[in-house]
Amino acid sequence: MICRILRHASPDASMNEAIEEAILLARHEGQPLDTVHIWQNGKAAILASNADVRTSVDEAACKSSEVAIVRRAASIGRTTYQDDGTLNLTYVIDQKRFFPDTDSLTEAYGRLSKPAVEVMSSLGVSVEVPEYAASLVVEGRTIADAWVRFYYDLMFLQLSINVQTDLNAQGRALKQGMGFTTLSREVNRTVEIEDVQRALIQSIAKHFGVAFQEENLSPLEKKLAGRLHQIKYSRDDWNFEGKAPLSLKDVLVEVYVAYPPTKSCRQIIENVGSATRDLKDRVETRIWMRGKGLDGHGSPPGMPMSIALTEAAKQAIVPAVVVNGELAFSRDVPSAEHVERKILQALER
Amino acid sequence: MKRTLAEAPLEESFECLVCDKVMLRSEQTSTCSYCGKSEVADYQCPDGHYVCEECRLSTAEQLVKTTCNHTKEADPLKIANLLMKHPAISMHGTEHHYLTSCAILASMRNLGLFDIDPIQIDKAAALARMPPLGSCALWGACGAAIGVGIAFSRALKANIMSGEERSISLNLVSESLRKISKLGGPRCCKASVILSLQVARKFLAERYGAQFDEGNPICEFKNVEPCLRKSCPFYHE
Repeated sequence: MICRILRHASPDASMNEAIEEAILLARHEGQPLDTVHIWQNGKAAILASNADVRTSVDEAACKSSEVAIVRRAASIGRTTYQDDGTLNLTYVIDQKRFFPDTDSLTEAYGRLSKPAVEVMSSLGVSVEVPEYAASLVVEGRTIADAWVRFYYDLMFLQLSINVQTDLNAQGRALKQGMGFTTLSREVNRTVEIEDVQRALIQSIAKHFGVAFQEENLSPLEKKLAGRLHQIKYSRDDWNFEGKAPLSLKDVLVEVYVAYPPTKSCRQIIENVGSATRDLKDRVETRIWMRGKGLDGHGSPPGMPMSIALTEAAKQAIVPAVVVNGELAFSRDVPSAEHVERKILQALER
Repeated sequence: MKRTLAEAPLEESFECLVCDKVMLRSEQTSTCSYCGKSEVADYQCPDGHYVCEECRLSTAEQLVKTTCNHTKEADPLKIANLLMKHPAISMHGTEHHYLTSCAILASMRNLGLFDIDPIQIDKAAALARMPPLGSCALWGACGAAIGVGIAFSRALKANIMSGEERSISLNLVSESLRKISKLGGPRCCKASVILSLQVARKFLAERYGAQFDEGNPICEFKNVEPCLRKSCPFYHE
């Protein structure tokens, strides 16, 4: 099995988050190879996606120490601190292709964390993996944090290994900054990041039978990362309040129809299609079918309905059209012109 | 990457809501499996199932009442199963409370045991809507079990001064709750409905000689998290 190995990182922590998400999206859009991304961040407090910044980090301390505060879009994971003493190991993989013999997430997580556990063991550090997606610990002290995210059939797993992370800086930046350790501390000498990196790559190749192809970010990934950085990761809306944009495009139109679609549902789909024909660069349309998910093919992980559409579905408002998270049409069939007007209003905001 | 519906024309086949078989385009007149209305179908199942446009757009309560008023089915489990397959009925939710009541009343009518009209179905649904979401945990009383009591209370015309009628309703709720409590958690509305309707069926069989299909029901909603899987008596791999 061939896998890409990517070592790219930006000095900007928020751009690194954008890059990680871009790798995931690009893989779904047809980028052929699974990726192992080995990289380091600058000083950053990485917020869990549902973390409250006020209770998670000391903003004043972060500001005075030039620690960036960025939020990660991962369904599982906790707030942590990173600096150039931390080594990040990110897998972006097609889970079925990587593990054809199991669909157990617990099993997949166990196997993916094995190389890191093995490398640390080879240094004399006995690591426990308590449970699915939990941090790696040494006698109760966290030595590596884990984040997991799913997008369609893809799995994103990042392990942040504290090789020589500055735990004093961590204690100042995070409000719950206790209970961590580093590889260097555990073995009582400075462990070099390059050595850990080299050992990890060898261990991954051995465990999964992969041949690595060293490649940089593709043009698609660069484009996606740029866009994600612009609309999400560089913004306080996301980093401090956890408000994610609904779409990579400027406007998201969600259409909720019956399954199978009735005549009125088909008419709405046609009218929305007409309204958005000349706006495809700026408008994304998603069609949800009642009880059957996106395009009638289930609800893919990482692709939720907006809150407004979820509410409409709960109240059995079908058909419904939601524009940028606001219910625009309920139970009636708007004309294409009417839909276009709503979209143009949304574009103006 | 596969084109989305927004980019491509609608598919020409969909899966039947009732039996999952592939439905094909049709221009024949078909009868709705829920409300009994006849109309020119757009898609039809090879086994003859069809869901009319109005039923596809129904709310949960509209669907339950319409179906229970129309159906000729005598087995409340079959009525409930048909309803639970419709997307208007979520995996878990308060619609299971009145779905239980109304399915039992429809069954009693079709067995010729009681004269149940749409007004009684309406009243039962209104009463069974009262237990809130999570009443199983908040009240210690599952809404589906309460739904059994409501159905029998309505049919038997029980009131606070009644003797046997009131006792029957209370006993059936108690028996349903006892069975549901043995399941453990987390809650599963599907299993709770099946268990409650089994209690109702047993009573109807013992008291009125009603006959129903033998055999343990098999859940058709398995593996939707959090599924009890092998802990559930209706789970089948």
